[in-house]
Amino acid sequence: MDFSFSKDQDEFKDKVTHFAKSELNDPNLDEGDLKSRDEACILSRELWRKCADFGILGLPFDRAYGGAETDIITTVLAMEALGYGCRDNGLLFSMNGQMWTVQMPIANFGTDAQKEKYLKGLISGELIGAHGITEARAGSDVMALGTSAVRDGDHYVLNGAKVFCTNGPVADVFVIFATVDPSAGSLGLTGFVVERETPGLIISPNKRKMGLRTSPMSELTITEMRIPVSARIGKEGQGGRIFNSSMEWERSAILANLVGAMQHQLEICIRHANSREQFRKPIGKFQSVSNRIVDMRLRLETSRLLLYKVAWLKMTKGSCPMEAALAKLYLSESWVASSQSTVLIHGGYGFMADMEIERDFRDSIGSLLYSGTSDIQRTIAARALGL
Amino acid sequence: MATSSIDRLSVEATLRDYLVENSNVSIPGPLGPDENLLDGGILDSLGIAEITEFMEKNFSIVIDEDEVSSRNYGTLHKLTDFCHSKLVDIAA
Repeated sequence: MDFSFSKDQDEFKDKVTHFAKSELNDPNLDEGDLKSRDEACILSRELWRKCADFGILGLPFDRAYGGAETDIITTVLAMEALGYGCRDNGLLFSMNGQMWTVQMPIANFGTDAQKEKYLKGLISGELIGAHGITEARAGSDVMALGTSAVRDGDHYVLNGAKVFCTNGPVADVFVIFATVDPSAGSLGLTGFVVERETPGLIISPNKRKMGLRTSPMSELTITEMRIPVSARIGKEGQGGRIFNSSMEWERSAILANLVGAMQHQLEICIRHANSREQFRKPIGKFQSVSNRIVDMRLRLETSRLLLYKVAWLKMTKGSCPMEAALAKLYLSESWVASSQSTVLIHGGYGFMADMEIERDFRDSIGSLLYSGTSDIQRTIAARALGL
Repeated sequence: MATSSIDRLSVEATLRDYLVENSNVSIPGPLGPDENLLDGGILDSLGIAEITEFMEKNFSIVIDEDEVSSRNYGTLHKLTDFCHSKLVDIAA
C-alpha cells in the first residue's frame, strides 16, 4: 500500500492551489466581490474565464478538443486544490455541473460533430453548458421522468418541463434528457444537446436558493421543441447509461471540492482557536473547542481517504457504485458538520455575514441533495449489500 | 449453471425466481412472461445493472452495454430469449 502521489501530481496540486488562492478570490472584480455576488446571485464570468484559461474545464478531456487528458486521480487532486483555495463554492459547483453533466456526456457519447461544435467551446470557456434532467415529479426517481421525445422524420419533438437546472439562466448549450418510450422505463431515456435559442425552449430567470447562490439555476419549459436527429447524444435508450456515467464523475469531483473546503475550514478554526482568548486563555485550550477541531480533522482525514479510494477504484476497475455512494454520503454530511463547527468555533462572529463563514454553512446544505440525496446514497449502498 | 445447459424453461425459471426475489417492488401474483418489467419498476435502473451482473455470473455469459435495451429487457419473455440465445451461441 502506498498513500503517496507522484511528484508531478503534487506539483500540479500546488500549482492549482496557488492559482485558486491568487486568482479566484479577487475582491475587485467588475462583477463585485464574493459577498456582493452571493447577495445578487451572480456567476462570475471573469472567474469562469480564468478557470478556462488555466485549463480547469478541460482537465480529463481529449487534447483534440482543448483538454489535458489528466487521469481521474490528478483531476480529483486539482478539484481538491480548487476547493481549498477558492472561496466561491457556487462557481466551483457550476463548473463541475458543466464538466461532468454536459462536457462528459458529449465527450463519451457524442458524435465528432457535436464534440467539434460544443466541446471545444465549453472547454475554452466561450460556451456555458447546463444539464436538464430533474423534473417536478422525477427527483430522486429521475428515471421516471415525463419529458417526451417523439421521432418525426429526421427530427424529434420534445415536450415537458425541467427544474433545478444548474447554469440554466446563463447557458448557451443544454444537455436535456427525455424518454422516447415511456413503457421502457429507464431504458427509454435519451439525451439531446440543445442550443439556447431553439424555439420551444423557455428558460426561467434565476431561482433564488439558500446557498450556492453564485451558481445560477433555472426551470425549463419545453413546448413542441423540434430538434434534428443529429442533436441526439448516443443511441435511443442510452440516456440512463449516460446519466449514470456523469454522476460517477460528478460525485468524485464535487466531493473533491468539499475536501479542499474542509481543509480550509480546519485551518481557519485552528488559527482562530489559538488567537481568540476568553477567560484569559486561547479558546483552543478548552477541550470543548479542541475536541470539536479534532473531530473536524478526523472527518477531513476519513473523507479524503474515501474520496481517493473511489478515484482509484474508478481508474483501475471502472464503475464502483457502492463506494461512490458511501463517499458521497459521508463527505457531504461531513461538509455540513464541518461548516457548522466552523460557525460555532467563531461564535457570534461566525454567524455574521461580514465574516463570510456562514456562507459555507448555507452552501454545504445543497451537498445533501445534489448528485443524489443522502437517502438515495443509502438506498444504493443498501441494495449493493443485498438488503 | 454450466454453459452447456441451454434449456429455455430452466433459464426462464431462474430469471423469474431472481426477479420475484430481488425486485424492489412487490409483484402481485405470478410474474407473466409478457408483463412489462420496465414501466412498473420491477426493473428500475439499479435493478437493470443488478440483473445484468446476475446473468453474467450465473450463466457465464458476457453482455455488451449496447445489448442492455428494452428490446432485450422489456419482459421476462424477451429477457429469457436474450439470455438463452447467448447460451446457444456459446454452446454452438
